[in-house]
Amino acid sequence: MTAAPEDAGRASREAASAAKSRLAGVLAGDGRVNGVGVVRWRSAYAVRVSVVTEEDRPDLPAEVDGVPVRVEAVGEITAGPVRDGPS
Amino acid sequence: MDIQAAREVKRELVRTAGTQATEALEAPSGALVVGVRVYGGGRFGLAVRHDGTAGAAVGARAVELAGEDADVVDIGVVRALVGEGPTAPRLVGGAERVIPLRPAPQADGRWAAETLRRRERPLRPGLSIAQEAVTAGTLGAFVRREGDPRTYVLSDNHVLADSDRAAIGSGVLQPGPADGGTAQDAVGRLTAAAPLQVATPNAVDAAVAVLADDVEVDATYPVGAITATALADDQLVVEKVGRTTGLTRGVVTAVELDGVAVGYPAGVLTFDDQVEVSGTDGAFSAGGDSGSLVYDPATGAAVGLLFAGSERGGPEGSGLTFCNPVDAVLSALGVRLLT
Repeated sequence: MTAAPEDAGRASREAASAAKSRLAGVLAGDGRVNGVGVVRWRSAYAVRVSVVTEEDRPDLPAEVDGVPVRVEAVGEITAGPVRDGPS
Repeated sequence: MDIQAAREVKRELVRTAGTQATEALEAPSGALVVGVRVYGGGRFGLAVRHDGTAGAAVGARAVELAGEDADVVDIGVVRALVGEGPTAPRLVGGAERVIPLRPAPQADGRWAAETLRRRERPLRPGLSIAQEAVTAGTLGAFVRREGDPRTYVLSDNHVLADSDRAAIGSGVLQPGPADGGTAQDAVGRLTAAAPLQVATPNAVDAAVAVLADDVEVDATYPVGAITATALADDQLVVEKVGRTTGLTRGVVTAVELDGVAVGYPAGVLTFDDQVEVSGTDGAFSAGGDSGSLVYDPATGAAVGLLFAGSERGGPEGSGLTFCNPVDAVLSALGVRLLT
């Protein structure tokens, strides 16, 4: 994960949820992003942007409305039945 | 930070706590756990779990020393429990949190993946199941519709309805075809699926199949019967039993996830308001676990329906699992858990 600023405030769950919705709206349709959610961070909350790769990710703010923004590369996400016979 | 630095900080934190203990510390001032956290990719940090009293100071010190590598959580009062399962104490208003201290689940024969891939009767949660054109997924739960005495199986749309490509009334097999299921193993018929939307975000990937009259069911999970539902709050410890990885334990690591982009045969679909789970002992799921019911082992409440996984991310980089909130699933299909 990338760092959020050291002086980022201790965001509440409600603040993180609102910031998440705002950022998700901005990032909607960006193929480099595969999820924007609320995560626990340092006894408070943050917005987490899941990206496919660290190397090809959008520019993101360090915080949105005072809520820290975290980034994690998770690769592709797939719906998961067995694909090639018994595993 | 690397593992050596994490261990040095941990030692400092233990000194801060005024004890040389290395694991759980129980003091008159409250509960405190200090450990090394594995983030994956060679990155380590500190995990501090405290009850909000004296332990909070240790958490603050952890942030001073480890910065973003410190994972500090106020978990409330910790109690050992006896006789866990659906009757175990629930969280009470967030003021006092009861954490089950039993060891991680062990996959005995009943919940082992190799057992769950076989033909098994009566039907039970975790078994391999699929529509006849699908490889194999997992039987998540048994459900009922209001005013309808018949029993249905609940799983994903992409397991029971082949991602909207299967005809209503088509056969559902246990085990699924990838596990040797044939027409002789039919247990029911596809009844309804929440359609998967291409142009707009989805809420669920779910479907139900009505069981044939002569098919018996045993709705018992490793924690007993699951008849209630709850919200999947972050940091909640959860379990699932699935066809590929059997019984596994994880923790909710993100909630309210929007714009989750998931690959399907028809292309990439997006999902809003999803739940993310990280495994606590390796990956929480793998292909074929789709459709598993994810539940809180402390309360026996269902919280999600497993439907997707990522390649990477999470502790040790073992990948993340994604679930639909269970109440959204039940609402979309107009069903309730079998009681």
